[in-house]
Amino acid sequence: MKKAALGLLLMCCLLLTGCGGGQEIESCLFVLSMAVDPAPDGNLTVTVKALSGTQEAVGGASSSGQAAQQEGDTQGAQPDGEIEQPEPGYIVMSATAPSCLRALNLLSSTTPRTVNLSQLREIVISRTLAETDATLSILREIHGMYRANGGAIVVVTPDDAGDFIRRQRAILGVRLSKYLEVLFDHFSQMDTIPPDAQLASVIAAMESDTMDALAVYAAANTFDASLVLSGGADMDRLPGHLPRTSPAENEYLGSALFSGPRMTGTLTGEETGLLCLMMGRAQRHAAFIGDALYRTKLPTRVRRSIGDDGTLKVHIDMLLEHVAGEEREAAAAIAAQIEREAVGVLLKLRAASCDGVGFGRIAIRQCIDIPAWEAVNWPERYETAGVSVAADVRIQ
Amino acid sequence: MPNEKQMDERTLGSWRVRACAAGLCVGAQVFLSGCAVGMPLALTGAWLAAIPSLLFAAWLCARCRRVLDGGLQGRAYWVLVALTLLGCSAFAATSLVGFAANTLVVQANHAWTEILALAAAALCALSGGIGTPRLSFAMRYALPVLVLGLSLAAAPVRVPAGLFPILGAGAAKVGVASLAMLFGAAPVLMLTLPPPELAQRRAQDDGACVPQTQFFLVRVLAGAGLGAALLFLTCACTTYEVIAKSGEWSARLSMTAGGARHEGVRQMLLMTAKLMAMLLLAANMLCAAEQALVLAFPALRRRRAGLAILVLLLGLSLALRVLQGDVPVLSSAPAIGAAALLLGIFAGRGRRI
Repeated sequence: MKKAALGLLLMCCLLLTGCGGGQEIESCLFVLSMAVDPAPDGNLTVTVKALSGTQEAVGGASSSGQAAQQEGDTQGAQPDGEIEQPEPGYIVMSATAPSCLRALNLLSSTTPRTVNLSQLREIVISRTLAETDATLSILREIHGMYRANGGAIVVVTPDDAGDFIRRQRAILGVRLSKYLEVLFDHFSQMDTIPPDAQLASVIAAMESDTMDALAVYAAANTFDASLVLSGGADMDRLPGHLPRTSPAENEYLGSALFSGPRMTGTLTGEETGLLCLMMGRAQRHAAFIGDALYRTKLPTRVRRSIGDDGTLKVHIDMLLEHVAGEEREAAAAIAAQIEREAVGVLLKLRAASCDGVGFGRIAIRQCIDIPAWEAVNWPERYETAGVSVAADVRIQ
Repeated sequence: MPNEKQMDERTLGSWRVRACAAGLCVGAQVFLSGCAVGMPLALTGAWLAAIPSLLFAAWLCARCRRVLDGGLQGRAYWVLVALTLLGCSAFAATSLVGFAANTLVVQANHAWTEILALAAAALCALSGGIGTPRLSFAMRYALPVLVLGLSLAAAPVRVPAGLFPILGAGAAKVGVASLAMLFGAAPVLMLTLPPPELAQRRAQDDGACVPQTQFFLVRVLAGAGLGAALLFLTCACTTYEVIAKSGEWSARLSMTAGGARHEGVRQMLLMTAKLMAMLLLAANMLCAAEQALVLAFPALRRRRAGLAILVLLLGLSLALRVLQGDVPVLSSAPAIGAAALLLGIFAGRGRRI
């Protein structure tokens, strides 16, 4: 009897270990990029770029799109003369519905696979939509209901988001997923895109009273911009305006600023670099100042504080090592330039009601408990606070 | 035949195993109590609310030592001990199922996961209360280091977004949470029971070879402190808004890892280590509950009838979870805490209750 009971229990352990409800890889539609656009009558158009798993996916994409179009609300990806063909191995589909969730359900019902967002790398939202209060609920739906990868990067584009991901291709390497991972890592290391633009972090920041969210800003470059660089910093511009040519039309540069769930402004690539510096998250090792190249000693020491009069203060202590070029500017002049530009960024953030630096996290330390913090009304105080930046630069 | 010195060493070893298992169980239970009832009440102040649990564990530890010294206890006492420890086991098993369903086996059928957890706990308990504490003893360093180390690596420690405000939802709510979390110390009650392998020897040589209170206290407090440290890490790295909107108990259990589910081997190791700790807690409590039940009703020793009854009750509590959700188990937490307090008061008074 004892042996039988033992055997039964062992059988339970061996037979039930995760076998129930398992999913075959071939049974899933692994989405890599997702785009959300506003559609007429308050609807949303959700476009997904997914792994088809076959080299003949281009034909499959258009045929499944046509089939989906017959479903009424659902629209398939149509090869457009102006839009590049999806690359082999990937499929682009879209659906329009009153909510993001229903659109995803439509996609699921018109595709003979289960939509799986666990491998999602980027979520692109059109700027028109990001400027409404719907952003948070859309991101929550994607993250919560479809268990999307919390590490997917949130991107805002002034263009049509669907077209943005249709243009998206792995111009270097083979896999789009790896291409996107490396792309975001690379731009993060250059400080031209904001840190913490991952889906889970953006949702947490949007829901938080102590900080505001930042997303990556991106746009297509049609290469009609002037090829002459102006006098300012090379990256002091928004995406779509870089004077260069490349097989990749999409440019990721700068930040989309959010106040609560609503997008309220943008920062250029250079301003994003300064923001990273003030957040203490700078990763860039080298910087051109004038015609000289400096190596930055990381991590740069940054102290953020709030003065007795409510002034938002940042103190940057930076150590530079001259690497190449003619060293023209003195440390004091560089410090003054950093202070001036950093104050500009803080004022821009304040005008957008976006506490991207995280002063709220410092302000909350002065409160003993959450009710006391909620009584402070931080968003209102932030909008009227003065700003001050002090930089201490030493050159080796 | 071992000589007297060897016997004493073996006896001390058995007590060490028992104390280490109790420490591990208290640590796991303190963390679970914080996630289950502390966080919804005190939000980021849940780690503060865990401190009274530590003090309660220390007090309970000293009281349990008196029982081991030979304080006479009645049948009602042991029945209450058995039920309290069974409650802890049910709590751990529910956490185990919820955590697994939220992380490793998202697509799995919940009923099957529950049957699996029950089967695993019952299998561990079949060793008669000797194997499970020994396994806990073998993992006394590896498991806490693994859980705490990997949690530290996974959590955004550099930005302790939840450290302030220090009092969380407020002093009153932290106070209520600390009362509700007292049941985190309940696994210490397993120290009222001697190691099964020593039970026979103690019958012949009553009250001999029981180590001093400090022997147990150090191990129990080390375990409880680790549980509180893990809770602190979870609270300090999570904003209060996220905790307030986390909803499910199992979702809060996975917060230490920053909610990341697809982070490869390191994340998988952390989840497995946490599941292991919960399983050890469930199994240890089940073994100790059986021992207490047999002390109350010696006839249940035959054919392991006590264990069968307890596994059945555990199964019922898990089945109740399928029907009613987490509410019945969560609402039993204050009752477990109150029972532990009552047992601590009556422990070692030398009279029957």
